[in-house]
Amino acid sequence: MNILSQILANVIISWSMIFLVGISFLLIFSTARFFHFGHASVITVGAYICYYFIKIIHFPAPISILMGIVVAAVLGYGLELIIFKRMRLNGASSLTLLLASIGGYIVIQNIISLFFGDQIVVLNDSILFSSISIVGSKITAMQLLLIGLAILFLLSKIYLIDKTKLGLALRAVSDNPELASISGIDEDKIMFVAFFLSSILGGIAGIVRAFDIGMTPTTGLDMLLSGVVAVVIGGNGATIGVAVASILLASFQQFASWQFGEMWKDSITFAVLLAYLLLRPQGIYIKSIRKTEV
Amino acid sequence: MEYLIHILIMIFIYSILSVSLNLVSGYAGLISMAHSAFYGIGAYISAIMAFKYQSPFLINFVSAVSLCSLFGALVGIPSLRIRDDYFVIATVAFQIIIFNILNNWVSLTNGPMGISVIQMPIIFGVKLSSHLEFLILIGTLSACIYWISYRVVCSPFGRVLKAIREDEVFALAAGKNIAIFKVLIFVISSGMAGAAGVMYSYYISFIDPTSFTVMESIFIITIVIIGGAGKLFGSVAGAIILVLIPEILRFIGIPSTIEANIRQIIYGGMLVAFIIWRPKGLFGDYIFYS
Repeated sequence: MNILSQILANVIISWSMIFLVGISFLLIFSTARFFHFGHASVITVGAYICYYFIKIIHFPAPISILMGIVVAAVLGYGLELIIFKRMRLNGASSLTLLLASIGGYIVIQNIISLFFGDQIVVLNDSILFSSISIVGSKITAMQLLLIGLAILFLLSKIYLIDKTKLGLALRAVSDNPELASISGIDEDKIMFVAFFLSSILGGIAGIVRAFDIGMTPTTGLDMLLSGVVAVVIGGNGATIGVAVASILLASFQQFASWQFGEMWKDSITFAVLLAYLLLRPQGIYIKSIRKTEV
Repeated sequence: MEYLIHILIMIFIYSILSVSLNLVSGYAGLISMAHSAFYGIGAYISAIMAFKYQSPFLINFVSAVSLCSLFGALVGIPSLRIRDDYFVIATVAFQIIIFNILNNWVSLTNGPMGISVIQMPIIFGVKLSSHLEFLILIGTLSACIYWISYRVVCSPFGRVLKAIREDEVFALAAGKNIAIFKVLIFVISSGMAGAAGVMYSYYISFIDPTSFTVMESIFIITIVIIGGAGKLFGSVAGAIILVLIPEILRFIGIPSTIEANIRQIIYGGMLVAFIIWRPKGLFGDYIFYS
């Protein structure tokens, strides 16, 4: 009983993280239509800036967290402004955008390594670290906060996309950029919103992770890849799909960690992805991804 | 002199890797991020066979290459169902799973501790005794692989590959069985990567999983893009440039603690710069479009 409830708690915690990263990735993926691996660097930078303010120049935690999020947002939009906007104007394909994004990730990740080293950094805060016992499972306050954030963003993302005019514009640009721009939607502005919001979410995810388990310069990519898997499995652009896929993925990961050990987690994640791509490539939402069916 | 030989050997190894990846990515238009997985599989198979069974070089070589080809088919088959970006993700997935296995299947691969193979290859009774002789061996092998690749891309087979890259639906409509072409080019390319892995494990005489990460795959695709996708000698040029850059850094006195980071920053920056301003690369004739 005890171990089951602990596993359940772990599934929920890991769901929250995958989902948080998943929707932050999804915002860009569904708007700009490419796999933005550089988003991993945004996640990492948010955490490291927060770490820098708290541990090295000893700012109070709230200001540090805010700075982390702001810098992450600026970096995320900066990438769009410096790299992707120009490429989009030149009619770049999603594959070249993906490659450029990977290049950007490599540069930023190594700059972080240069300044902070490769060892793990942890932002422990005694209040947030006190563990609470809920029906026999141990859970820290930070993890409760994470779960709360995930649910909050799940609801607000659904509201934003389905109910507001901004959400309509986001969907319009993602469906057909040309038609959207004819209808008077400013594509650059929508991209700004998508990259900015997504980077804020990414920064938050990174900071939470740094508080919870700790951060290395490459953790951002690990987190992002789980999120990407959730988005791919969830289908193209549906928030609910990502939420369901994150549950699936979190359960598989926790079950694998429990049965075979933590080290096989990545293998399980990506085996699930491969199985999904091969058996049901359209995800939960149906959309053809085979070229010969176009 | 020893230093020069080392650099030449590394250039040859990366030329084999990038030329073989160019077959898949440059000619067939399928970006694969799993190339260092094949490289690693080749290296590990030969190292395990040499370490556990003391089997001779040629047997190791042949079995590593053929097993890598088999794995290549395994990755090639999904390319029929999964397209473009999703295929990139699928190859990333394959790469990470292979790395995970190399890192965690301790009884077979010795895990993060790696395997030492301290013996030089013996070919037809001739034992290679120095790195210079090894250089001659790998030079010959690279020349063979370049020649095979050249024959492949200049043949009607290569023409169909280009057709698939330009317009898959059209190639299908022209009556070409694109499935066979895609899987075959993967088999050829991954076999070659496996050969590079065998050479690497014999040359370095110690392998561990960190040499075969997804970053290594990205490095190889960077060579292909900077050299130029769709041109074989471009990949050789790219390999020469990207292997020489860290050596130049060493000469201008960058401390070795930050050298790895600086090296990666440079090649990441070059990747972005080339994609933005010269997506064809130095000598290429193809940019990746969907």
